[in-house]
Amino acid sequence: MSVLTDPPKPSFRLSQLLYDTRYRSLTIQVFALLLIVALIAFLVLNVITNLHQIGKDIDFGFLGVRAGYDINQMLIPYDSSMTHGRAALVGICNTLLVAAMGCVTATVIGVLAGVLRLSKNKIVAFLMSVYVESFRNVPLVLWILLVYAVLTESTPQPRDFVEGGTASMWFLDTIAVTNRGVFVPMPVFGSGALVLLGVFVASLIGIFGFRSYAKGLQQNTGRILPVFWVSVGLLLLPVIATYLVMSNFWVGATLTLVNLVTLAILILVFQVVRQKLGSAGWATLVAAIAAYAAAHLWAGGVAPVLTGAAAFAGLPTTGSGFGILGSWLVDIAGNLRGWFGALSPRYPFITGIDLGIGKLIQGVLQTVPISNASLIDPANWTPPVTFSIPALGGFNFDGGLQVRNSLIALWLALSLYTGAFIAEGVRAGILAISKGQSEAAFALGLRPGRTMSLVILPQALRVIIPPLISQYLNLTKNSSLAIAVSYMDVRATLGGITINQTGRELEGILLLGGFYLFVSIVISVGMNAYNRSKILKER
Amino acid sequence: MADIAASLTYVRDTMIPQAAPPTREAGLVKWVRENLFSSWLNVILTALAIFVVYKIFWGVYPWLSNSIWNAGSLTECREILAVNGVDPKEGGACFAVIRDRWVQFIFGFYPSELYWRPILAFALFFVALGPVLFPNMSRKMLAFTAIYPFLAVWLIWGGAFWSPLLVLAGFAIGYVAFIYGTRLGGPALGVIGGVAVALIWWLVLTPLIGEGLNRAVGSARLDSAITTLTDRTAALAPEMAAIEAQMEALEAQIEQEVAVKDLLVAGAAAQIETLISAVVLPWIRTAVAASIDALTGLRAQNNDLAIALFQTQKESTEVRTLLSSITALPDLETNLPDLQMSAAELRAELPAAVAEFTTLDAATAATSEEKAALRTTLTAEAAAISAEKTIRLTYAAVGRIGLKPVESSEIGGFMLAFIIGVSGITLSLPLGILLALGRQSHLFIIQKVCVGFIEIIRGVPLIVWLFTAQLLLNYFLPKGTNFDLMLRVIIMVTLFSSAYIAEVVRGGLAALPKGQLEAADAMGLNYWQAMQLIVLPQALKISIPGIVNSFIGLFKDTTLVTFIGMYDPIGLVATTRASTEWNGVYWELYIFVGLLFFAFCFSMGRYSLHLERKLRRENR
Amino acid sequence: MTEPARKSMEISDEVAIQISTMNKWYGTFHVLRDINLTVYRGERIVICGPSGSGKSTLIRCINRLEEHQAGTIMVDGTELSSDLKNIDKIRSEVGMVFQHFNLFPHLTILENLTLAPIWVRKTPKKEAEEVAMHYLNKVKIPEQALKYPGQLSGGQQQRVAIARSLCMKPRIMLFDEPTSALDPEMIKEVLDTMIELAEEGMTMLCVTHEMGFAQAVANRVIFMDQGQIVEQNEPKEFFNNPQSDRTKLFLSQILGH
Repeated sequence: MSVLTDPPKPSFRLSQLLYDTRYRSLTIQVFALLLIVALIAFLVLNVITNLHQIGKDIDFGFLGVRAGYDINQMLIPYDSSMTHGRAALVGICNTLLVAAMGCVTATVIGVLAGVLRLSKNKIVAFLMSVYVESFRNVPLVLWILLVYAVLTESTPQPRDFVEGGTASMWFLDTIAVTNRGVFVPMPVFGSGALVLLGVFVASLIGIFGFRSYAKGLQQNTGRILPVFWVSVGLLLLPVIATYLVMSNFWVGATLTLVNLVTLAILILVFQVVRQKLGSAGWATLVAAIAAYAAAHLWAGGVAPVLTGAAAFAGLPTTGSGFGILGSWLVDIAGNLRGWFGALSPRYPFITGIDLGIGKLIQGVLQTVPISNASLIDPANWTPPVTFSIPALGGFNFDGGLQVRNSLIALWLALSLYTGAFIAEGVRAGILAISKGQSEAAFALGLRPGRTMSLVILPQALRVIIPPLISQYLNLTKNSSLAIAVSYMDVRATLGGITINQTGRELEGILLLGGFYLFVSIVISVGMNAYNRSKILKER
Repeated sequence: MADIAASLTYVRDTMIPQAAPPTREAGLVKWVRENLFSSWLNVILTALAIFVVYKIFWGVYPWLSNSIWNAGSLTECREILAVNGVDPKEGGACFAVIRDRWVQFIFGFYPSELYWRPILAFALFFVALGPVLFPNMSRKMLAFTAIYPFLAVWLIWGGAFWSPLLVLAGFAIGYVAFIYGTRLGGPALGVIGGVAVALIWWLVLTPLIGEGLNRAVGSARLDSAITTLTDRTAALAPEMAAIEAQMEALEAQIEQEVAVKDLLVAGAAAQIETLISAVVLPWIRTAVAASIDALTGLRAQNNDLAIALFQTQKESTEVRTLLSSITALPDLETNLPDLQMSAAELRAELPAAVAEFTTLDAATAATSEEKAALRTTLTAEAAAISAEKTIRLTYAAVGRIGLKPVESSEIGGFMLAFIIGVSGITLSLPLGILLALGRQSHLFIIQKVCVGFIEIIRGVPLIVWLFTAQLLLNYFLPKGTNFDLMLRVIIMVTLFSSAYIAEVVRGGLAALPKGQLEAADAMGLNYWQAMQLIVLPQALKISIPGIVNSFIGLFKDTTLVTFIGMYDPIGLVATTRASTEWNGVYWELYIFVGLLFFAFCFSMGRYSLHLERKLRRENR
Repeated sequence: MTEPARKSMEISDEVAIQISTMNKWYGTFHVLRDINLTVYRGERIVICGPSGSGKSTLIRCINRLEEHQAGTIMVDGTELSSDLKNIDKIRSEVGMVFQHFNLFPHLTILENLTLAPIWVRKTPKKEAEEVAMHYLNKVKIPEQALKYPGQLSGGQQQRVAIARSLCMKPRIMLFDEPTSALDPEMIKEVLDTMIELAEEGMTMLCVTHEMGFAQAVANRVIFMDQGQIVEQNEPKEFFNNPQSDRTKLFLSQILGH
């Protein structure tokens, strides 16, 4: 066995830098680095000389200077005596507001349109493809401007809303659409609003608890509880009940009871007809007719009879007992007609449950025993939530919340535009799941609903969600088109008025770009984390 | 068990022929049942959909069917609608605005006598596109595709015929340098040498040669130019007078016709109110229509005259300015060295505090003497620069052999969108491919730099980049370089879309099986050969649908230039709506612009879909 | 195959599936024409025929993956109609194995197996997992329980698919060309599993071209062409003495080499 000697150390030659694989990549990288550094140095030096020649420097101190301009929409307190930095913050809030609102509605629209586009119903599918194609193929700016033009040019002026004027408000006189924006009811929180909030949080916790209990129960005994319906009930019922109790027990309870009973009867009718005829379409039709008839029966028959009986018996028709019941039944009838209002467009599709209640509270409260009534001063009692309803005062609306046309136009156009892209993503996601998957699930005896939630959705979601998130990112970036309708987003404050007033273009645009970059990096980091957690394991 | 099996033995003796399905299983009934009424949810959906279609139809149909295509303003449109007895609730579309303005929507403010140039460029675009889309066309056509960009730029912006040739020559010279460099010191030297030589040619030699040619041709032509220009000045004055006289006559006629029309409209209104309309109203309607026709004709004539007048006036000013510059040329040329010298001396003598400032605004902290000195210097410098510029422009105007130049600011409408879109996508393609390769590279620094570039570009909205182009780009370039705004926008749009293209191409690269590159390595190809021969042809083919989609996106995004003051279709909508005649029109304009965008983007989208399907078929 | 196992392959005279004059159309194309078929419990039927002859459609009709338009199908005495309850009942008694396995790629093998027992049979999770492991043992891949379908070979995936069906304790099993998407060396492992299943007395309907399997296991071979049953017989008779010309032609084509 011979001893191996080290090979002679080769002498280093300059050409190895280029032709030796050990050095070659290093050489290239060093060369590239030099080029890039040179380029950056060139740009930076140019900036410095150019700025110097016109007597400027780079200074972010302007953020602390008084802004001196007003912003017509703000989520945080601001006035013109505050700084440019504060104005930028107001703009950022406005950008995030419209982006968040847009993301929510775009998702709803997109998912609906995407699913409906795959519907077997050819008319619906066709309508949805018209929607998707027309929004995808026309520039967003045009949509924003069009919506804005429609809102400002074809809506009435506030003064047209006077009695006998040409315009009227929507939804029981609660919403006014004008060329100065839409005025909507604004919630005003009164006594016990925190209790209501507490109940809501408690029901959320309750839902969480119930879900984990149901899961445990299923794992141990196999019993499946109706998680969805119980959750919905837990979410709504305690809050409604608390609200009614805190507002007025009897009125609320009667109202709820009668409405629920009617609804139960309708469901019964629906089930019976479906059983007998075996056709869901007929059942729907019959139930709808029954609902309509019931609404008229309540309004035209029972309620007047009760009121009349009360009057005959010498009971007061307002204030207590039969009278209240009677007058409320009239309201209930209105509600019912409202519920099925799609059949008769004169009754808007909204219940007036909480609108009229406030007026009666004061009087009725003293007659109704509420367990903790003694803790509350009845004279100062207000319902936990009331709504400030816009009302015409002079030439403009008072009260309520004014949502400017710029915000609505931007929000609507962004949601519809992004919704069209999301719809494509959803459609692709569902189509990506092979037919075999649902067949296999059916063959195992899973119902279509379960097949959807256990087999199709988990797979489709991992296809849908990454493009969905990048659509959110696009929406956020596209919100900078606020410029088209003068919505005061961060581009308009920091990147617009502030730049013009201070002449700090370089700093302003750097900050603006930095903000958008920050948002996109946050979103893409989140997306990458999601993708990593959902990668399919393959051989 | 055996008996059961035996009893089941069966052989068919006659085959059953194909039968038609039962009626409830075929035809329209089945289709309707399965597609529209298969479940209660479906029934509701059908009802809703029919309701929506009905609503849309009855909302849009009367409006469209009442539409007016012939009117001079929105007011006239409404008058005609009223005369026609259209229910104001239904209303009617006033497409007359499109008839009035569509040329502007296509060409912007491009001089109308030169429309043939963009039209020719547009037609040739398809010739140039042919060999790219259909690879089996003759290879010779590719040469035309390579020349086309220069030809198109020359056609649209005009100028001397040698400027595109000089730019083109840079490529040839760079290539020659590359070949020699490679021969001398390997490919690395070749690339560096080629790029360097080409850059020197473009940045230093091209302007020099161009100016030299201008000067040579210009000096030779100076005398003849003076005679033709003087003759032209003499001829222009009577021409203008004649046009003005014609216009005056026409305007009187228009006024008369408007009076007639107003009378008729008022008559119609009265008739409608008194309801004695059966006989008179139809007659008034025809009369109004005739009157409007006459008005439109007259207005068209008047418009043509106005354009002619504007052009002669413009020409007259140009001719006179040029003439005076030519006369002043000898003086300017002799004085120029002195002017430049004294400006330089003044600058050298400036106090240190203001020595480098180029505007008075910069010197906020300076004393009044320093300010005065700076002011004198700046004035002297401006004088020198303006003299130099006048000399240069005069020679260029006299010595130009080629097309009349057109300013970028005159280009607008769909032409602008198309120019920015097409140049953005063509220029960004090579850059995007390089970025994609860089992002996939194993070289750490290059990969990180590419990732950083792509993410920064994609993380910031285009509108911010456009503002950067408008406000900041000049800061990043050496003093004195001043690009045209359109060029700046194209540069920014190119950088922007290259980041998106890079992501598309990266997808294509990632979709390629690893074995391809391994096989190329095994064959002994180097990196660039492997990329060029094996990887890119396949990856690009996969990426074409994505590239087409980013082109659609880019084309739609060109509308954003309206916010930095360019007249793209959206900007023109605003201009039109701001005019006195058409104030208040919006649906019609947005529908027109929207439909044009839709037609283009939708067909491109279908094309990309078709390519995608074709690819899938081929890969199966 | 061991001899003693054979004797357990009893056929009772209880009817498992009864199909009478069943017809089906795709649009106007008549795919299944007047199908009459009675399957007794414990039978092992192999259905063969040229492609497009309606074999797959026939067995897919049995658990309503396809809807038939005329005639009746009774499974275990329950008629297959548009009534969801009947469909549910039949689907949980009939297992099906697909050509392309159709495992759920986002779930582990164990989760694939326990999904239906938990959600359809409402079995407690632990119990479902025990049953799943039992069947995984039976198809000889218990060690793969926590992997994902994408990490398994084709043969293993198909065996998991069989186990998945078995977890629902079906009384009838349908096989839709279970081996035709497999590499040759993997066909055997799947066929072995199926043979074992047959030996335990499972009622099986199997669309396949594995004639070896037919001869070894089936008690009846059905030959279909143009949407109709052309010939059915015991395997030995069927292969050695085909009656119809079509059958002869088909057999000569597939056994030609």
